[in-house]
Amino acid sequence: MPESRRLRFFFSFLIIGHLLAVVTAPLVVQSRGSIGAAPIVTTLMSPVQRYGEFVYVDRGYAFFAPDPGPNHLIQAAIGPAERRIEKRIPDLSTMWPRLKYHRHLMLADYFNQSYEFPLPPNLASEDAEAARQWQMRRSRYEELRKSIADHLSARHGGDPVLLARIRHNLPQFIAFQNQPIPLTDPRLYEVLPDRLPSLNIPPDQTLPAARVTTPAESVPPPSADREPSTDKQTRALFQFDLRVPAGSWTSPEAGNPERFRVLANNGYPNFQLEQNASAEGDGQAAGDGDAT
Amino acid sequence: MIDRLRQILTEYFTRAIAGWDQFWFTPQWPHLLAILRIGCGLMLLYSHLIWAADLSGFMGPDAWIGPELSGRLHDGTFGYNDAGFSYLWWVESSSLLWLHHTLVILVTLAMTVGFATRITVPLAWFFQIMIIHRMTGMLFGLDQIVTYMTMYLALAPCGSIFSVDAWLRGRLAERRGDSGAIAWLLPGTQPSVAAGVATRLLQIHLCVIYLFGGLAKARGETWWDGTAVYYALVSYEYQSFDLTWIVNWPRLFSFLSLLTLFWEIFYVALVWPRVTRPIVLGMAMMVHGGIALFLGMMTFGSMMMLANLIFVPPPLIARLLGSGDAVVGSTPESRESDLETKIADYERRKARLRSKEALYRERVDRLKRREQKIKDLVDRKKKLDNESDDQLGNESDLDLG
Repeated sequence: MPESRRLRFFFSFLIIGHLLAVVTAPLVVQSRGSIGAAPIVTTLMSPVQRYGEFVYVDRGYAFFAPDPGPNHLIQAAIGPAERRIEKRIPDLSTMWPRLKYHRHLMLADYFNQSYEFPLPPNLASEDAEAARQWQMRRSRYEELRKSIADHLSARHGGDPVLLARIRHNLPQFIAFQNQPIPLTDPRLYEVLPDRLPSLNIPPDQTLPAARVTTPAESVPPPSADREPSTDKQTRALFQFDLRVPAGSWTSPEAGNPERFRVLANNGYPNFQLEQNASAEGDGQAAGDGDAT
Repeated sequence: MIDRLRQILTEYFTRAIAGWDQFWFTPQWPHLLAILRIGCGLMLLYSHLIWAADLSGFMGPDAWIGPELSGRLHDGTFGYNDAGFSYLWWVESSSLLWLHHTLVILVTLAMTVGFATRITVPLAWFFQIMIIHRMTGMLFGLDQIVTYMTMYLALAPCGSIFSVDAWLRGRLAERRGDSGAIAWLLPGTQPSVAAGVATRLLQIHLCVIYLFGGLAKARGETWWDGTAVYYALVSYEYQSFDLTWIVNWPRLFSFLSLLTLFWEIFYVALVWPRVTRPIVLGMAMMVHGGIALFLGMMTFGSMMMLANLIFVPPPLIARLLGSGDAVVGSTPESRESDLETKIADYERRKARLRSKEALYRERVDRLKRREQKIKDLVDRKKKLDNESDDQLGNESDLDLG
């Protein structure tokens, strides 16, 4: 034990500071609500926040929490239509050892977490600050999408790349118990569209303030009776010609009636992305498939 | 009254400070930390080798997340500004990247085998932090636990045993004596405050991880209705084997879900008492073993199991290693130091007992005083009763008369 009381006091001070950073970081995550984190927690964290961020103790520690959810994948269509190849990220058959695969699984998850809807119409005129914040989040997603696409393009001789976010839903317990299906059943997969949650909002209608300031983190499920997308480019990129009854195999939040054609199934479903002429022509694609 | 209150408060704070000092600053043997150094070093090495397997894809100019974008994810460009920093945000040259990564691997290898650990362990931690902030978006629990363990190991003389340093120390001490520089660079195998602090920090950090992991789960539905383990096991991207048969065993998976939830939340309280510690640690081995075997995260699961060893008492480690000497001390200096630690410990216990004895004596005196007071009151009452009886007797005599 350090003999000097001053030395003990000094080390105690450092220890308390470090523990403050360790404890307050997950506390901020857990105490975060619609109005932000609890003020007392943010106040306690403020003196050690930068330190905690640098030494990487600013984590929330939510493993499989609050609930185990669906996984997210990235589907990439690489090259022009005549020699197009498909890649899925991550892919256990090509990414080995397991840790390498897991890094890519985290990348796909991060890409999905970073998703932000395109800027809603009229938001800039309604609330400039909200629009600026929204645009920053959207830019983050777009930059990530571009970086991933650039990487794949560089690996394939500069070929154009289309990316889609895929959600692999977990089979619902009761349905799965009654009638088990393979975990790779195409009905468990869905393409996450890149558009505002509701397509029924007329372009000139102002969005509700709550939705503007606190956008949902993931694409809300379309209602079962909704018509398939009318987005021509999206429809062209992903063949929404199959319909799955909502809630039959997928978890409740994944009752997406829109489906895409499964052209091959070699253990995994293989989603053939079909690019339309206009997207291929100008190298830009809206909707789910994004070209660079 | 005020003096008494002051005395109670003084005693309370004196005892609290003594307890704090004892908890944090009691010297600890480095054996367990040396084992953690080897395990953590191996995992860190493996992780760096995985980065190296596709270095340009992970960190190069055409990486999945390019270096410039990686920096902008931290610098406020997208609304999130943190203190995460990495010089790798500016490294675009492939050869420089390889040179750097080779150095990282060599340093980690040195940490694992225990070579120049006073320098290589802090350096391995620093490199890990730089890589962590560069690789934002591709990280998970493994990176957290490996980084924390390396950070705490960097504080302690974890290379003083089971290491090249220990071997070098023996040879250099023979030739040149135990000079100050050598003593610092190649620390002897003896209890140290640094080892104690590192042990305590990792123990508390683990408690925080489990507590908040459990609380986060408690906010969900499936951990309560018991289906969480089912959903985790049918997660195709995670599972190592097909475990879908578990769907027909709802009592089993709901039991495992609830057990995991309660274990995580109460870990912080139950890992400290000696009675419950083996149960809590046994469960940690089962939970993380399950994650390692069935959920495709052998790396994360095994590191968490290793981290939980920090709660294993040193004598048990010695027994497991088959050598009582490992903890009793292998050199005369270390034995002497151990004896000093024990004497200091006994002195502290003696002081605490004396303080308690004084308190008890005081209480006994107080109780005796009260007893005496009560006795006096009883006597006085008896006396008064007798007097009143006498008086009544006299009055009745008068009436009769």
